[in-house]
Formats: sequence, C-alpha cells, structure tokens
Amino acid sequence: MWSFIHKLGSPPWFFRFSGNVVKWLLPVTIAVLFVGAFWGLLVAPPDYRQGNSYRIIYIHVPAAVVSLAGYYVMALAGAISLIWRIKMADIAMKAAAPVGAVLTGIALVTGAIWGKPTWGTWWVWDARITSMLILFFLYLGVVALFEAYENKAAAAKACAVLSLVGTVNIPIIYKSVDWWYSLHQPASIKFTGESAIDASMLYPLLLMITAFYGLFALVVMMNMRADLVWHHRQSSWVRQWAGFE
Amino acid sequence: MYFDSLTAVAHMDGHGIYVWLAYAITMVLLSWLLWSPSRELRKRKLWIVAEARRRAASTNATPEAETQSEQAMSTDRAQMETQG
Repeated sequence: MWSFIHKLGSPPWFFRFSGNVVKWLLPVTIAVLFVGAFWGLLVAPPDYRQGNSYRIIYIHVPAAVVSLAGYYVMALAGAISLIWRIKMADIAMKAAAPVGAVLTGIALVTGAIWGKPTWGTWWVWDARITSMLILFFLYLGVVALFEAYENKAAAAKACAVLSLVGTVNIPIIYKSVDWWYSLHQPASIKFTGESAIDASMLYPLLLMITAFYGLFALVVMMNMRADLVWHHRQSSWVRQWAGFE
Repeated sequence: MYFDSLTAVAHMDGHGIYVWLAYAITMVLLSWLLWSPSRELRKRKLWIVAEARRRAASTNATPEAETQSEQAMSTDRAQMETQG
C-alpha cells in the first residue's frame, strides 16, 4: 500500500500506470453510462407524482454526488501539496478543478431544467441550490487562480489554501436539506436504514453514479497526463513516449 | 421498456423537452471533458516531436541557422503557452 502511494509521486510511473488504466476504464465507463441512461430514460417506471420529469435525476444526482466527492479529492491533493510539497499533488489538484466545475454546472443546470415542470420555476434561492452555486464558484476560483499566477509554485499554494477553506461548504451542502426546510427534497438513498426509492428506480441510479465516478477518475487522469507531458517535456521518458531515444 | 412508441419516448407526457434537453446538455459537456485532454495530449506530443526534429537539425547546421531555429522554437513555445 505504502509503496503504491510512494510510486504515485513518480511522474514516469504514474504516466505509464494511468495510460493502462485509461485504456480499460474509458470503454467500461462509457458502457455503464449508456446502460444506465438507457435504463433510466426508457425502462424505469415514471414517478407517480412527478411523472417523467424525474428521469433527469439519473444525471442530476450522480453529477451532484461526484462534484462533492471530487471537491474532497481536490482539497486532499491541496493538503498534500501544502504539507509535503509533492508536485504530483499540485498537478492532481489542477486536473480535478475543471472536472468538478463541469459536474457542478451539470447538477445546477439539470436541476433548473427539472425544477421548471416540477416546482414551476427554474431557480429558487434555496439553501441546497445556493450552497451548490458556491461550490461551482469555488471550483472556478481554483481554475482561475492557477491561471492568474506566473509562478506555478505560488499558484499551487494559493489554490491549495482556497480549496481547503472551501471544504467548509461541503458538509453544509450535505446537511442543507435537513437544516433548512426548503423546496429541495431530502436524500432518498441512505447508507443506514431503508432507502426511500424503489429498486426499479434505484438500480439505474446506482449505475449512473458509478459511471460518473469512473468519468471523474478518467478525466482527472487524462488531464494529469497532458500536464505531466508538458512539465517533463525535456525528460527522457517523455521523449521516449513521443518516439525518440 | 416503459414506453410503447417512439413518439411517447420523445413526448414523455409533456416532459420530453425538459428531459431530453437536460440529457443533451450533459452529453455535450461530458464529451467535451473527455475530448479536450486527449486533444491536448496529442497536440503536445506533436510539439515535442517537432522540437526534437528541430534540435536534431540545428546540431548539424551552421551557428547562424541554429539561432534562427531557436528563435522559431521560442515563438512556437510562446504560441503554445498562449493557446494553453
């Protein structure tokens, strides 16, 4: 286990390892995504109250779940970067931020589209939605901050601090539907106790959540690979990969 | 299968426009997420190959040609960096 973590810090090892992972994870993730979407869109029964608009949850919930988990990944990379000054952690943090931003954006947009036929409005300044909007801006802030600095070490440090401070928002998002009684419904899937959702609707949702996790891992690794090649363009392993030496 | 015809799938009892719009936006964004790093990696590989060729060429050339190729390289690099 420790030797694996140790190896993750080595750019040439990570580049080779992630290349192999991407090769099989890409087709598997796309397959799971299509099966889940097909099941959720066409096979699952409609909700007895919301009708067919509820089918949007098969993308809305996975995007929201993974955008929250992704934030922890980014903040953890930020912490590692601050404490041990491992370059690889900077690269991971930089790679995760745009993916998280897009997933949060998907959660917000699909939520708005679902809100129109269900709540009768595209947007409400409800606690859950507002805290998700803050998450979206935190992700964008990290992306922008990386670009703002000429000195990449200083950029990484500023981004790490921003992402760590932003973690305060994550438990607020989780708990917002319980703390403030609002339009947004509470969680239907629970780790402890009975889920408030029928199996015929739950299975496609679990498939989609798995696919979105796979997608997050995949895109973060692909972003890291593109970044690594550029950082180490003078190194012999990159030149070897490009077909020289 | 819940729906019995393609029109029913498209219409979804009046919710079709919302459902399909949400899925379309998501698919476009996810495709972009997957496509953009692979394009970036390909672009950078081409750059690394081109730079290695230029370097190999300049070691065989006159000093004058070398400075020219170095200048060309630095403008290339500046362009790459502005393109991100």
